[in-house]
Amino acid sequence: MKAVDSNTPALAVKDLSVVLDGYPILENISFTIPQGSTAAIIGPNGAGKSVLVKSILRLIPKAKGEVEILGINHRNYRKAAALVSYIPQYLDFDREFPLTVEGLFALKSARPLGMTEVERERMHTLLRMVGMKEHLHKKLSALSGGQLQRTLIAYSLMDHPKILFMDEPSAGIDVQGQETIYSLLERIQKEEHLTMVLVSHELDIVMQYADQVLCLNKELLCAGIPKKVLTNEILERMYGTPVGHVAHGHAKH
Amino acid sequence: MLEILTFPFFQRAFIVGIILGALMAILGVLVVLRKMSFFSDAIGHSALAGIAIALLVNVNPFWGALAFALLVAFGISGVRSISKLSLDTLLGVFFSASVSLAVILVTFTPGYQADLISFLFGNILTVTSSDIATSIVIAAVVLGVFLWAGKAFVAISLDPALAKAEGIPVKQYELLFLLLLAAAIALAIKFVGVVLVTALLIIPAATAQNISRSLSQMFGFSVIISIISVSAGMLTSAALSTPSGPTIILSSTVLFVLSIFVKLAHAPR
Repeated sequence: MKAVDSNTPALAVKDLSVVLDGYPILENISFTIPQGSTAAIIGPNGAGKSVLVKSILRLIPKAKGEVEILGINHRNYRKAAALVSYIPQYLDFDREFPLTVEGLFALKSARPLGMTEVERERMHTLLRMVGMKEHLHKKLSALSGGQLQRTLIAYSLMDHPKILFMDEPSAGIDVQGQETIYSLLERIQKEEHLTMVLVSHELDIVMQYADQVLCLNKELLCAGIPKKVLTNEILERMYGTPVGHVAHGHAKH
Repeated sequence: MLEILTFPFFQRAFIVGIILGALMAILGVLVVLRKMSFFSDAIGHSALAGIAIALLVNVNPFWGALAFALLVAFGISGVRSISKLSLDTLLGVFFSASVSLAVILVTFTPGYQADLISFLFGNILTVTSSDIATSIVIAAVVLGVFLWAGKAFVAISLDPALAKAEGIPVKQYELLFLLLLAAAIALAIKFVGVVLVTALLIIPAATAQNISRSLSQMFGFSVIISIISVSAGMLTSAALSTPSGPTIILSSTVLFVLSIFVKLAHAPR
């Protein structure tokens, strides 16, 4: 695939609107995310955060607007798909589905059965990176929420994506686990030179890890560096109620 | 009883039984994992209308069964995408309409009721040499396509949204899977009949799921269990002079029951 100019935004969204069942969910959303950064999409429940990501990835239709993923219009999503990975909030699979961690990774291989040696090596490297190497032969259904999330992170990196979209990376994980997941993501972002787009509702986490925040509540209320744009006024507009802030002194610089 | 093994009609039936058993066992794994048992049953029964039309216009019933099974499979998918009705409601509508149509068409085809009955329960011992050739060709095509698209089918079965985000054209693969399923069902109907075709698809895969630790094991066990069921069923049917299709299905049911005990024995206490 042709190398992408480093000045091309990882994501460019212009006037994106989404209507579901006749109800406007997102209205005229525009923003850009530069390559190599971590962007967090925040907002209250029902603000349209997941819808925004799903619409960018063409999982749900948009009413209007344009989206470019590393310069590729998402109308050609199959071309852009090679550059992105997506980790949904919950993996919607049956607990009786007998897929093991290794079997999951084999799905990414171009081989009809199994995987190549190079792919196997990559799988081992990634599983080691997320601390899941010893669970290779476990069924997905036997993993805890945190272990499944780590496995999915490793799986999502299997074919060297440029952008990683994660919907609530810490959903279903205890607080200590959340901290570890975000530290892990920060390390992976540096090692794999990724752009990360995270949906989150945890302001502390956003302040600590994100370079850029997008505040959403049907429309885009703010976009920029978290400690600059996340003012009490914006938070009140976003959540509809005063929100005890924010400045915990460990924001990413 | 061993003498029957030397009869050409039995040998032909055995070859086709093994081919069909393996084919249905592989497709059955995804049918079970995707909870499509009733869907498969519905398109199997719908094929009866296609067979009735084929008998009426004097065409090979396989093509009638295949065409109608596909028509109903695509019809259900199409109506589901534009209506808010649940899948089981739509299956109920298409299922009953197709069987009713088959019964009405039969009344326009005097003298063919016996043929239609044979398609209800099948008869694997009526296999001809050309049936073997047809089975080999169709099974090879279905398995070839399955090998090529199998990983995409599994990814879609695991989580369709994730598969779509990875760039897999989910709708096209769904249609392809329905095509393969309809072809396998249409092929199997002649031998085990409309009533039992779903059992051949479901029981070996469900048995395998009870004892498998991974998906590749489930595919392997499903094929082995199906081949054992077909072999045991055919030999038992020859020894006891019972109908072949139901005997094969009961053999696989015995293995299914045993697999439940195996699963219980290995369950964490």
